[in-house]
Amino acid sequence: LRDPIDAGLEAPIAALWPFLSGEQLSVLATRASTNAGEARHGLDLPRRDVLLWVCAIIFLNQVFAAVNEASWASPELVLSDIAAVGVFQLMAWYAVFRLLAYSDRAPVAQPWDVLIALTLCLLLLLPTDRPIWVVATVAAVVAWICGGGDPRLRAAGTVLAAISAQKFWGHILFGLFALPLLRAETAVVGTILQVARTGTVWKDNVITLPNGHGIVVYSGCSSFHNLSMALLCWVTVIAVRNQNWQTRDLKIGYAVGLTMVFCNVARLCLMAWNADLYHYWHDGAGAQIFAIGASVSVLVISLYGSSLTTRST
Amino acid sequence: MRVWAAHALFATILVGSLAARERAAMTPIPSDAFESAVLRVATSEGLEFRKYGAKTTGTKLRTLVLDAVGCSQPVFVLFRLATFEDEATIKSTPEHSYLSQYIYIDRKFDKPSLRPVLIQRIKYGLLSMFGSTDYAPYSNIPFVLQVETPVNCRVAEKINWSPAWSRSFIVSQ
Repeated sequence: LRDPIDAGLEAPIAALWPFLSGEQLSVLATRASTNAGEARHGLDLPRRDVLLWVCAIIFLNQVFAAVNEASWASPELVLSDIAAVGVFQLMAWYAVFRLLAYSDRAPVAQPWDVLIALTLCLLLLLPTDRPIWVVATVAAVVAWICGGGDPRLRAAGTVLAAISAQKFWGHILFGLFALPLLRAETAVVGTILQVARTGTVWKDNVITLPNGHGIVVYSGCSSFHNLSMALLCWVTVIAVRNQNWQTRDLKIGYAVGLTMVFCNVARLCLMAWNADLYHYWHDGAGAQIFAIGASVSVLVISLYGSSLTTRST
Repeated sequence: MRVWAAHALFATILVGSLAARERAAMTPIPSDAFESAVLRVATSEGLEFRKYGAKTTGTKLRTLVLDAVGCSQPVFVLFRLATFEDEATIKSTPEHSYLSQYIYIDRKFDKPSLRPVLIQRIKYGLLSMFGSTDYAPYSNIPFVLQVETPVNCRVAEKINWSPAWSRSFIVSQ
């Protein structure tokens, strides 16, 4: 990435200081301070800064909502609830800010840019969590439309859209197709188990083995939610490392998706095998092994795949 | 627009949005509070609590078994996931002597239909986004009630269950 030229960036960066690394903060702050004089003389606001502000407001509102929710339980839970925002989500937010910070600062915000940004931000004054993701989606579209010539701005918009999809739109989509998706997943797991253990039967989203042990596949166990997280990881890595999407990137996406589905199907097979394995992979150490193993796998595939694409270009 | 003025404006909105969130922060609703809210609605409408039945799989909530005046058999209230993904595990009462209704806030359905419930959830989700409703469709209560009433048990059929989804009603106990 080239050096940022960051006049007027000091305010959004100050708002984000707890979330940026020391090195990045110092690079951005140095650039910002050297250009602050220029900004004070009445230069128009770069469009990039407007988007940085919108993203900073969305992100801090999300973190604040997570902390607020935790505070109802106990102060000790605050950190774990922030962590519950998700490693891949935090990674995605980091990518958004990094891409915006390194994008072209030359285009100046037009009055309508500022107007749209202000309208979006004002929606966040409503007393509910939901507009955050609607606002984020619109901001992503704006970044896409405005960032015509700047791949970093468009990439930031892509990652922002992916975060909104994972946090909000994906749930609505899943709600529409929950039953068919669960039945399809049950069919796959049930068929595998039928081959491995004769006498296994499955119907709708219920699998029963000959020993009488059975499982019901609910949305929490479905690959869908893990898949949306895996795809967020993939989009983030590709957007940071190579902003110009290629066909090969889509192949990496398929690989990431298939890996996550494979891991989840394997876990479901193990949970259906017997009661001990069910408890181990559902509530015990196996659940953590699955979460960490699957996350590391999709991250490694995304990183390796994107490095191949970068090398070939 | 001067740069500093724009930054000041956005900074003000940032602080304002966080303050609005803090002011509007609501106590999270535990899912078992919904169970007692439904029971309160039932008793306020004249039904009498008899006992708890088995838990519905996929939820941690127990089936309510209630008596209604003038009805020969008990009324069953089952807590169903709004996605109906528990359908394969539900054991219903005999069809010939009972009438099944699926209730989500102010709508009643004869069958476990996913789409109408989802539309209702989106509708109330949007309304709650603008603070126009007290119902909390996207909190910890993603449940539909399956109410099984004996045939000709008019008292139970006419009950308005919608307050059970109302945030203020749930937290008022």
